[in-house]
Amino acid sequence: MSLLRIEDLKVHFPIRRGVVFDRTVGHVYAVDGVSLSIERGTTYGLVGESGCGKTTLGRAVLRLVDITSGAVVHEGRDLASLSDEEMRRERRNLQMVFQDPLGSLNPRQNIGSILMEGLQTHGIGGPTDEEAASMSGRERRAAVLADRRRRVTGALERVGLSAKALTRYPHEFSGGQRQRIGIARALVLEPDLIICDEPVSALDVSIQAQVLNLLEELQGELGLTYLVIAHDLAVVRHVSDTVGVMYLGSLVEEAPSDMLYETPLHPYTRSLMSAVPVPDPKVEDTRERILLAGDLPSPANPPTGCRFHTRCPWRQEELCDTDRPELRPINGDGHRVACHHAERILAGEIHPSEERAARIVHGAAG
Amino acid sequence: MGSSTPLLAVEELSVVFGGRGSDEVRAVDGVSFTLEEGKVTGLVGESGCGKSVTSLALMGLLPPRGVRVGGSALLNLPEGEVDLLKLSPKRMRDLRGSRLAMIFQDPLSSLNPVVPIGRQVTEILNRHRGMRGSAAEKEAADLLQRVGIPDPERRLKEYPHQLSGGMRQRALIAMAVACRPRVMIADEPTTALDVTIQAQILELLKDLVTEEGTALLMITHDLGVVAGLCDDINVLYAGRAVETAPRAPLFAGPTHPYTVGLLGSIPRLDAPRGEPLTPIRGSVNDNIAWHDGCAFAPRCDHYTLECLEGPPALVHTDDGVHAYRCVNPVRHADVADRAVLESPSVVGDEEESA
Repeated sequence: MSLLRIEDLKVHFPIRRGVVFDRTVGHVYAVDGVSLSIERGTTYGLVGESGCGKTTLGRAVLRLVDITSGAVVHEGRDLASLSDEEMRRERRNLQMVFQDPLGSLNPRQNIGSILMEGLQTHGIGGPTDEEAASMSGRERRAAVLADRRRRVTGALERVGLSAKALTRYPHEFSGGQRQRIGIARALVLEPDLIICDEPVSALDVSIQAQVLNLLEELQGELGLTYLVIAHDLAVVRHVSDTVGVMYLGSLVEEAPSDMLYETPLHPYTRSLMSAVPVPDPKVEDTRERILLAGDLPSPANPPTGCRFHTRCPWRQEELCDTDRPELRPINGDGHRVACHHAERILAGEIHPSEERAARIVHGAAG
Repeated sequence: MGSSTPLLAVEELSVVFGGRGSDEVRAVDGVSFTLEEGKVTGLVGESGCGKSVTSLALMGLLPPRGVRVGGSALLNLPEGEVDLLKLSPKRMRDLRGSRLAMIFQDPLSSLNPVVPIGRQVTEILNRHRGMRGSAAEKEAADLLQRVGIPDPERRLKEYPHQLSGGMRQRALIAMAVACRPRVMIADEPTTALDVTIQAQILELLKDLVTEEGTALLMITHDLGVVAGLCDDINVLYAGRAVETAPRAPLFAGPTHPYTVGLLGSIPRLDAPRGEPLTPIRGSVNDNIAWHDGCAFAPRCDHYTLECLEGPPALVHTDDGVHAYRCVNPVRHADVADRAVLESPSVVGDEEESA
């Protein structure tokens, strides 16, 4: 059974107008019907451009934003229906690593206190009940503190920092170290699932690689499950077992990481992959690039039918602008795609139209 | 590198920030490169390597006090050579916008939020080309059209916040090319943008360079962008160029351990999955001053005691185009087996070998 299952999740933010009477004049359809499941011990990568709803989806899993409808099932319990207090307790098993490592650490709290806070909130650590029975109150408190210290130091060491960091403050660390502290804060509670929202996008290239390797090592040692949310397809593909591509609030394609790269089926995935720069002049000069026309439409007023049809170079006259495609399995090996014409595009029956793309750069031969 | 005289020749540029009572910071420490017509020169490096300060120094945008700028930057103009670093502020103002243009990283903060796009574009036409009224407006609309903004007449009346990120960057590019500058400096022009928009903007810059013969100085941290766009590449570390080469030799045989490390740190879309990345140890703060030795030595896997004996000299290879600043460089044989991986083709370039 999968560790986390998201079923038809919707998060709509109301747009309010008016001073005296609070009217709702519309909704931003940030996440609009996403279903996916994450297996224990694996990494699910969620990729998409800004405004596609990937961050909102991650926050909705932790109920940091209100869920409009749908279910988030963790170990047989629907998180969407829990009360606030029950949800607070549940967050012990679901932790998050945020994008901006400086913004997500309290500048006035030292590292020890930041890492200890989660343990205190959830009452983790301390002697077992039998041991505690023979202790006085003071002894018990000392034992709890010692145990929490041990856990915090352990988590810090796992992410490659020493116990000396405990008494220091966030501004004393470099960006990469701060992100390590963010990871340690999630680790110290020993969660099942860690949601990493753009874990490396604020970091320099050489530091990025250190943090990505660290995440991978931790997964190997502790059997963690990750939901990695990022805009960089190369990063997501590197860390994930399964990749989901989001566009304007819905998943357009989901596949095992290697398969997605070898045979991208959805037109959006294909143009996204062709836009990612590869640090190799030979590849850059020879590959085909599909440049999309225009920008992402407003999620407050999404296009009818297929959300991508306004920018899709493969767009057909029928179905695309009237029927919203379902995410459906293709080839039966875990590859799912939301496109009416996926098979025909794959078979080469439909060609991208030069008029609908801003430009298609054909790879120069040789 | 062509035989023609370069449009802009930067020699031993150095920028030192010194405050009273605090140690001085050598942000740029002897950087030399040339810009040629119709070519793109890249400055690559991580944050703090001095790439943005280089661009500000060339544009004369550094504050007048507390900064010492050294070296020379000779700009080749029809009326003769001028040294950008020694020009009077008044003369610099005439050149900025007309001969030199800059595209900044963050399009929202480099546009005035309370002035419509149209006025911001016509301001340049007004100042440098003396255009007024409807002529200037028409030219502005043409410019926006040229950089791919649909419905330019309407956009001219709008304010920056009404435009999307990609469109704002296009508007900035329109302003930069308004006077057909000879030299354009783009400081991380696509960092704030999504990949699909980034691809559009890079394509636009490429077209401008080929069509107009502008010399473009591309400043970026993204080696992928560099691989697709730049002709010559300078890799900067702690204020100095550590490796300089045309792009093909640089990516085929990176020689400086820092360049090798950078390439090993990037997850590649076309590389086999599951291979661990090979990051560079430590962080940019772990360096030593260049005059004591190689600044990269504390993070280097190839480090020997020789590295600490004074600043390493720039070594030119036999072919004369590739140069590196290292006493113990990575031999090509070592990298050949990991850098040039047989890459599966990206979306339909099977005819590569044709």
